[in-house]
Amino acid sequence: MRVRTFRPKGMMLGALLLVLALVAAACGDDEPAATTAAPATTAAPATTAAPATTAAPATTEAMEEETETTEAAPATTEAMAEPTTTTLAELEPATIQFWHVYSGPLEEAMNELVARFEAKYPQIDVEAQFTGGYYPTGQKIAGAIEANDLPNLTVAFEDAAVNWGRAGVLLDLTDYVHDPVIGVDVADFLPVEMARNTYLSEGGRMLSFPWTVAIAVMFYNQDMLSGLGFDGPAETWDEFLAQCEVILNDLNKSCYSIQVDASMWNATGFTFGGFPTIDVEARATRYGEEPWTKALDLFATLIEEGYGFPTVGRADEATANLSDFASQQVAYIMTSSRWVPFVEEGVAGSFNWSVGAVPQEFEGADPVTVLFGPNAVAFNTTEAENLATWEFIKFLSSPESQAYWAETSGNLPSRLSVGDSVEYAAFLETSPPMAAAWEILPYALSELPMTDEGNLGPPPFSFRVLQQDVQAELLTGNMTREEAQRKLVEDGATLLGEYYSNLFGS
Amino acid sequence: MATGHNAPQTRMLAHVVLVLLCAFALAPLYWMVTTSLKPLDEALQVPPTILPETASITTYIDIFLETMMARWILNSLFVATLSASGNVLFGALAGYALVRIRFRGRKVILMLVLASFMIPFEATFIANYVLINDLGWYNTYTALIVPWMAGAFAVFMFRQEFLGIPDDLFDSAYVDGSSEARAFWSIGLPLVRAAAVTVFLITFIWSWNALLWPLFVTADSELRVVQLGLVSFQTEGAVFVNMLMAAAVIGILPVGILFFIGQRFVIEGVTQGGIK
Repeated sequence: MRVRTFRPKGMMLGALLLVLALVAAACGDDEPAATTAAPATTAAPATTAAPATTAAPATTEAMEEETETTEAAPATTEAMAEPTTTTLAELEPATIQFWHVYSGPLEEAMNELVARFEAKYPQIDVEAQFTGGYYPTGQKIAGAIEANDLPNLTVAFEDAAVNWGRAGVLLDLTDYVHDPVIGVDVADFLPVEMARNTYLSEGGRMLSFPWTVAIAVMFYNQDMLSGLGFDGPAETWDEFLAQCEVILNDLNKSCYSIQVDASMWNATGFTFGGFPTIDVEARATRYGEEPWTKALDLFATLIEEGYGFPTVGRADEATANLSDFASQQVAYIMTSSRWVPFVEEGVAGSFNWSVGAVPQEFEGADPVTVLFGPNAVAFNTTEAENLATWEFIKFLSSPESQAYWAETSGNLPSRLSVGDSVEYAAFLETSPPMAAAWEILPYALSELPMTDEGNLGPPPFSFRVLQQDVQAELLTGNMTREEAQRKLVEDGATLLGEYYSNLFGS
Repeated sequence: MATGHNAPQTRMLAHVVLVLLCAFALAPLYWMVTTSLKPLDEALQVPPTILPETASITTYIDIFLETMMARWILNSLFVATLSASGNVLFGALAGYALVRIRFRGRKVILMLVLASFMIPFEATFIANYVLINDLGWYNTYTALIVPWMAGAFAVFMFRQEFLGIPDDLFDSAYVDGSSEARAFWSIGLPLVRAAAVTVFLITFIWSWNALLWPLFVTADSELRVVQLGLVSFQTEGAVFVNMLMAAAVIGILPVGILFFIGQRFVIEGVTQGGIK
């Protein structure tokens, strides 16, 4: 065989020219990212405070009273970047990058908010970008941290905020929030929201800021229930089981399509007093305790009696419970209040339905449920950008923006005064399900281990995965209630023990 | 009298089995197309309707009127065409060099190329992202195209193809005074045409289906590709399943047509590459 030795000649030259031509052609719209991140150092976190349970306020008034006395914990450690007190007129021109998770109609709504902000502050340019769901956005931010080219703002959950805070790239919002000139009226926010965004494990700092909330609610088929002689949705689990028995006997239908979801699972457990699910000091779960025994027994009964069925494993799992509800296969589904506009479209007026509280253990009990939603998380860049970012966060959380976002996205406002606005009141009149959700909101609890002052250390996402895995096994009959509790307690202790040891030190 | 596998009964049974398998394979496609023609309430119906009760192309019209789907399709075509062309060009050059040109470290390079084939794409994400940023390519077509213009798959495919070409063909060209470039262009490349089509089609489909990388390296809606567009129909608190399916139909059409045209070459190329 004759094999030639390497002779670069024209072939390589041609290839090189071709590469250059392709690159040049492709580089037509080069717009290198403008932001240069300048992360400051992060002080070591203080040790966590002792956990305590928080009872849901009994009434809206009670919650408002509580609001007046609840202040977010002041920063107890060195702030990552202190704001320079300034008036808005002094805001320097800046471009801020906002990476978010909103696509489709929500992206349009977000773009509208951005346009309103830019009209109000012409010197600030907001480049809002849809970066996929929370996981891809987290991945992109991990890359941006390495590249030292972070955005100014994103939306994320508490565990991500802790991780980024530990990486020293976050903008500590504590001093901005409480600044006499550029701060906000803390008392106007839901107390649970301010507490959720105050990280006691990180020295009581606000590593994020309330943005948008949703709660777990029961969607119910009004026509089906009234057709069977029921006045309304079940208020207690006993009543719920009784309704389910009638639905099964009279209509030969299950009454409840059960979504495997950690938040819905927690909402059920919280109605039995199973809050919080984690004992941070013990670094263990509380799934072995009586409230969760009752909750897991309820799930087991629902399946055994044929009153409910899980949607896990179905090809259309993401929308399976809605499909069951829209097709009148079931009377109830429990899901996020954020789904109200979607259910409206899915049902398309074919029957009357609404939203109610999750059934409780006892008659007359407060309609306890869970609250969730991402927060605004800012990254520390330049002083001008930090101030512009804070102004944008404030704008997003303003009553006007909150009302607009709530109406267009199906989320609930995190500010109490939004309820007083004529615009939002008019919206609630047109949407009884959202009005019902708004009424329940004051009783909603965070899923995090909390005190009134702040969260004690958000668990990792893998804890939610564990919850959902066990829930799926229980609902599909692959685990008994005892086995489910044992797995949650044992695996939960291992998982949380390792996680909190890393977070607080062993 | 026909016996064994030629018997009419056996052939009939074989056909029935094949038809059932085809139906099984095509069922998701059927579900996708019919769902795209239903309004949302019907698309969510349980049990699903086999034929749409109110079939309409409104969803398709809405997609083009209310989103930038046309732009995203053009972007995907542009990006996938250049990425696939690059793979053919550089894969052929590298494959040819690894077979026909003797140089120090040839085997090591081949091993490194093959090893790179085994590294999961996700593992290189952050490093690639940092590099793209440092080069100032973030939010450009360059970032979407250049990193995917060459790959181990193409190199390996072409190397296998070039291994099968008799040396005599090249030797006679050299005797006639042909340069290496001329031998590659006039003798080697025409003989690996099937591999070239295979590499083009497969890398085109990979590029067309890419989601995470375009999400990472672009910021503007104008730079989005089809797969990113599909994500926008699955948003927080809603999955517009009929629109998602319509967008998926639109999204797979170009690549489906391309694959239909070139499937003979793909099968030929993959089979030949595999038996060398």
